[in-house]
Amino acid sequence: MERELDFMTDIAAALMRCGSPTTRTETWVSRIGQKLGFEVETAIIYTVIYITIKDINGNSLTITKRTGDLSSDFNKFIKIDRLIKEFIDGKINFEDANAELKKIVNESYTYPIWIRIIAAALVCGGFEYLLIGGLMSAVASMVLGALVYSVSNYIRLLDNRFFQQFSAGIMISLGAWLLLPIFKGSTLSGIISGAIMLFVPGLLITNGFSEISQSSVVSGTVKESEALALLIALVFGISAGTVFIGGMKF
Amino acid sequence: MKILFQSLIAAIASGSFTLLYNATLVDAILGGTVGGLGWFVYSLTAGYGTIAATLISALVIGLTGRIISRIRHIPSQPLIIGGIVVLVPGFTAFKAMNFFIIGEASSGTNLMLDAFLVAASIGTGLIVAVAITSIIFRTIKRR
Repeated sequence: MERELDFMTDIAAALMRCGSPTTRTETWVSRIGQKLGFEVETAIIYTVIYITIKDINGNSLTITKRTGDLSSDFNKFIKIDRLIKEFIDGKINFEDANAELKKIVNESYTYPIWIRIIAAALVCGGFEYLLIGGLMSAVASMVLGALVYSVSNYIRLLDNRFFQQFSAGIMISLGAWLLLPIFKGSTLSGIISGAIMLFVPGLLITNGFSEISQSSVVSGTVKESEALALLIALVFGISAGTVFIGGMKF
Repeated sequence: MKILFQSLIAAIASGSFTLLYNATLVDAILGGTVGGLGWFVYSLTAGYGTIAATLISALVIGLTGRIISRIRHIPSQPLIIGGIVVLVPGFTAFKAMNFFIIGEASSGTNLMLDAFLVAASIGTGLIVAVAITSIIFRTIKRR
């Protein structure tokens, strides 16, 4: 019974760390439990997972687990999702599923840094063009976005998201100020608006609302609160940088 | 023509964004396509106002993302997140917070309210899309 519960907890934690929505994770864990012959009660409140299982004899077991830092890894998410489907459909047994899950969780494949830097640049330039519209500002945003993304990859090692956002804000405002005379015709607000798109927690705001409307009120509200805190850190960082420039208004 | 060009840019931006979250190349291309389509619909319906345009666009993104994910047997989240990233009110929320910092609280409040309404309309559009596709998929499965 303990092994089964550990497997369910590991699945839930792995899904949450890959960016799975709370409601989907709860549904999967319940279905895995039912497949294993248990009655299941699951509650996932952002980074904390609570699972209780009960067998046919009435013996029950509860586990509480913290997932730690949440991020998004679509590749792992798709693999774990496929594994769960195979397990529920009976195509793979418990032992193999457990081994496969450990293998997926321990994988650490990411794209080479140069591909991620190019992608970051395209995101920043594309969003600047769509939101503001200046071509030169878009190019400057691409350069700044690529630079800040590469530097923030190292700052990420400090494992403090508030500090990461704050330092990204400072780098963006100072970088925009330095790039302004190089890219003639660009604007400060244009450059900044593109470069910040990698760091603004817009997805967190939207996902938080989606979860609130799907009855995961606590999890959704926590996500909204985190988004607000990250936004404040980013804006404080940009404000700190612009103190040197002499103020800025959008 | 301008709308098509902007949709292409949106597709590249959202595809790149999906790639940053470690999606496979195929999923990133599909996420980008959904994002480009979302921006195309948003631009066409922009005359109805930001909230309505976002709602319709999110609905289209949700429907497209769910159908493609069903065909490819993968979860819809990577495609939908890639698609909606062009609509999320990150920049509006940032501007609102910036207004608060420089002491213009009323402008900040208005913009923050806008940001939450846009987020709400994205969420609503996606939920409606999930509900519609669930009914369709269930009906197909029964036959």
